[in-house]
Amino acid sequence: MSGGEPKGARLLALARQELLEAVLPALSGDARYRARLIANAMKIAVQELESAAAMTEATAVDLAAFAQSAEIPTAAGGDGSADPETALRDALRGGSLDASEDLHNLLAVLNRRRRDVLG
Amino acid sequence: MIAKQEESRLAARKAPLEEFLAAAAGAEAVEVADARPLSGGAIQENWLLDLIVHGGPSAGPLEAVLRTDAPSSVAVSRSRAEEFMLLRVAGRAGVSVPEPLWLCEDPGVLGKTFYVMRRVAGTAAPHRLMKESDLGGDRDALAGRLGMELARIHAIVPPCDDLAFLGEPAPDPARAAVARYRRHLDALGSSFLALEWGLRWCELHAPEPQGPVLVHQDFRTGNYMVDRQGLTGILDWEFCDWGDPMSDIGWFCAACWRYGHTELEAGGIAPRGPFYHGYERQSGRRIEPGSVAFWEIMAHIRWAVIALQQGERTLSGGEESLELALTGRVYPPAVEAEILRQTAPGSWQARR
Repeated sequence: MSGGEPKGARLLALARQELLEAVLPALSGDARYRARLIANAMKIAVQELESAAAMTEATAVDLAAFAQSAEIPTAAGGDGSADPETALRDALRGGSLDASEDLHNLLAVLNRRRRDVLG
Repeated sequence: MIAKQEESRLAARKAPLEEFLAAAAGAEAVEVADARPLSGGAIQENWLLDLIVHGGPSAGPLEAVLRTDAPSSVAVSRSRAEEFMLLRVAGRAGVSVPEPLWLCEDPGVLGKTFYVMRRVAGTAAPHRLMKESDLGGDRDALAGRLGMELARIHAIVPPCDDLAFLGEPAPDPARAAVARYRRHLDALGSSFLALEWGLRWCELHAPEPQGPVLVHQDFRTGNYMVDRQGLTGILDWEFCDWGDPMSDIGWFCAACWRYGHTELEAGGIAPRGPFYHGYERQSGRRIEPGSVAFWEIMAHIRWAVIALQQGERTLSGGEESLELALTGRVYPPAVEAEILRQTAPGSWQARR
């Protein structure tokens, strides 16, 4: 049992299903295209509601760990430097991460996570 | 609903519009028999006009398109008056364009600048081109023709009095683009590390600049019209500038504009061969694959930046468009994956 009160993500998932199964078949032309856009937006919103918090957390941890291993000062070090993302951006622009295998691998992982939310 | 409101807005301006058209056409009178809004175009608003011209040199029925700014326009886009002049210059250079007819800068007519061009037949819709294999005629021939058309655009070079509004060409368009996209990303107020990675790669691997020539900057499938026989017109001149000719080749061939037909590397319609051949034969310029590869990576960065800017319009810009919001959300991650794939650490070699 889960308490009987469906949460937003469940409502949205069911609304999307209803849109696709009951409404979309009756539409044509521009209205059909717009209904598909709506369904797509709902799908992303559902997946984000379910996984965004964990993803944001994991990404922050990964970026901070990478910055530390690459010896790039960040706000995490308490010395008034930028947050890890900004610090890495500046390091990239400055050339200290050129052709870094480790950063390329990390960026691929972060990218995969964002694409997973899109389904 | 929006279209309906717009429709009534144009209907309310029918009399001043007809009066302007009559004067511009040197006619006794011009009747707007029908006006329908065309969907699509995040920046511009297009109307199909069926006109009946009474008297003067254009007497008779005339199928036209009226183009004006959408309610929220984008600062990087050329003005409608500039676009009208670009169409005129391109038409004179032998590029297949919808013939520009009349420009109106008097706000008393529609409340904003607009111009009217002769309608060209066919469709520009990429999904139809991808589904209907007989659309656009023989596809290799279509690609060759597009290469030839692009070469004609690139034959327009500075200085050109009619295009003085384009300003001075950048001495190194690739490095200027790197600086520009970094500024755009900074303005978005977040960090986009995969794009920064790609920009750093571009900064280090920029080829020797070619040109400057007139670059279209949105020459891709979706922005040209075709009918069953072949090409009928090149559209969307709003991003033109002086630049490196290879940037347009890279934009046309970039994986993000192949609409799922990844193996057809020339815009999802044909292999590169016929497109390159048409271009080289018309321009006398050799296409250097390394330079195009560079501009394809830059194309992906540019598209990601544009998509993010479109998404931003629904955030701080206050625009209520699901389509723009999805553009900002869906495309950047896919495009970034492609950038990371094409700029793997092993490809970081050349230094200049």
